[in-house]
Amino acid sequence: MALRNAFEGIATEFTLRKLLDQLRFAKDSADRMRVTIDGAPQITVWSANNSAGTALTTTPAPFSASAWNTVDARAEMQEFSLQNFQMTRNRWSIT
Amino acid sequence: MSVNYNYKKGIDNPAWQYMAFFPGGNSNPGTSNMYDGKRFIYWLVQTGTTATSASTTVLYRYDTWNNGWQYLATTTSGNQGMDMEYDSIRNILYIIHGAGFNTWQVFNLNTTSVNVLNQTCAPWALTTITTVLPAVANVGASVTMPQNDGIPVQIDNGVTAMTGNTTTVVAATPETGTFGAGMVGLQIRITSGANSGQKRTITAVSAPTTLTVAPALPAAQVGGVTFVIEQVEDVLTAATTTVLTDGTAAWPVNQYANHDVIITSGAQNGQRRRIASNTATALTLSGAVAGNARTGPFAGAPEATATFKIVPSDDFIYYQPGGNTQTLFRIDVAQTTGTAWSAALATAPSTINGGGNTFYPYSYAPGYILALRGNATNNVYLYNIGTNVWTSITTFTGSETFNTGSSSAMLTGKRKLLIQKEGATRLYALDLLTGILEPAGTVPYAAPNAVDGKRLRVVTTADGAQFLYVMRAGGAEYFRVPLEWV
Repeated sequence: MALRNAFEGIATEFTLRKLLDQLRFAKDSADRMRVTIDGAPQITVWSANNSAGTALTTTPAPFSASAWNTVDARAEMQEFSLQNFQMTRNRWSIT
Repeated sequence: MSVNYNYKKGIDNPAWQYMAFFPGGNSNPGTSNMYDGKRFIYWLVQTGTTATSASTTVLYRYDTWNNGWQYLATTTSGNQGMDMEYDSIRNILYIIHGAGFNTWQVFNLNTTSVNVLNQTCAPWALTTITTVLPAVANVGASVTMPQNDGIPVQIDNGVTAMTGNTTTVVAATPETGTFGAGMVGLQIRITSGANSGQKRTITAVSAPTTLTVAPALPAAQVGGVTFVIEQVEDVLTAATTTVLTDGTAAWPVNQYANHDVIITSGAQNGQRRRIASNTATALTLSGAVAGNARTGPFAGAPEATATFKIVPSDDFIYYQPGGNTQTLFRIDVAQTTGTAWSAALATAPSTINGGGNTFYPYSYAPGYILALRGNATNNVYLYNIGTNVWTSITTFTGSETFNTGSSSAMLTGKRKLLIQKEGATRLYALDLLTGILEPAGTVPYAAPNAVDGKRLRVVTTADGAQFLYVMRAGGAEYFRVPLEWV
């Protein structure tokens, strides 16, 4: 966090670019969500339902101005478990 | 098509996947589901209340091809004891509402009207059935329909062991001996060796490797002989319009009652009629039932040497009311005039309650209905559709029991019952041949509520991959896992 604190804790595209010049990748997942980095994975946009099953279709939670990382953990797990499944699925042979 | 997951035991764990959550609300007391065998899982979920009183109940379908959900209908409000059955012959859903009600409905998935239970069911709509259930549906109630279109041509096969064979006992190798009590009444056909071509009826299965057959084979089997297990298919020796005789048979008496016989050669070829009773060598047809062309005498006698096969009738739906009852009923859904439920059939060995469920084990025991008792026990029963007799399957489950909130689903090809323990993420596979219960993985995320429902479903894809789909009791979370080690 030392470098980031040098920019008063606010990672903008400009300041991040400076970081990236040194590191070539975003410093952490929060940074990665705020910028698009050439050659890096695209930003993941979570879709989610609340506990009552109602879709959260307004501002995607990770980008909400007021609570930017409050995405439903289950929605993150949907993505992670899909990636995990696809990795194992690559091993299957169907004849 | 077959799938090899190419996983290593002890190294790779099954990859649970979070699917799109159920969009209709939370899965409260009263939930059930059915797979159409091809693409969709239909989900009937009571979303209105966490209590056990009737409330808003919705019917959705889940598309296993694209992880999508579709809202189909809001049914009569239900609660615990709610269940659903898919009729693959007529492409309709039967829905019982539970909650202490005797009401039920049909949802017609065709684009044309369907006539069942003496009513015309409009396409893509719910129809409330006027012939109400014979007893109210409470916690653990279920409906089950034998359907012979899913029964494989070859139910099992095996190779004889080097020892243990006589003219009436076929002993299979441990590797191929995967036989159970539900195979009594099926036919064994020897496919190699001196007895090749011989057909016999299985009269007992004393161990997963040991079949007793009748009548005696011409000579004792030697080791290494192959055989298959299939539905009865043989040649008549005499026939009238109401009685078919196979003088070479040695059938268990009344094993084929409530089954259908299909003539497969000569006069009446393709005609199908219901069997009322049978002796060791003769099938007696039932009287005509109004509206059901598959009942009553043949229009003319089949040829005396006609070939025939015996299959379970797929005109009956069976109903077990749950709620600490032992009764079972059936109704002919094709009947028009006089549509009525049967009198109570034989009573189950003990009372079925929360966690109870009935299944049609089509690719293991097509002449039977399987019942998980629930009621805080580990009891499993087989009901013989023909002889109207219940038997218990000996189980070895340790201290695990199943009560309200347990969900269960058949893994028919492997003769196993998948069960999720109530209020827990523990998933089990009960081997119906050995009676042994084993862990079958752990459902991710929070523990479910211990509320009534049937929230597991095994789906076999067109390629032969098998998944278990799970909805979380008390929530909307929805998961699947490939069935690798089960």
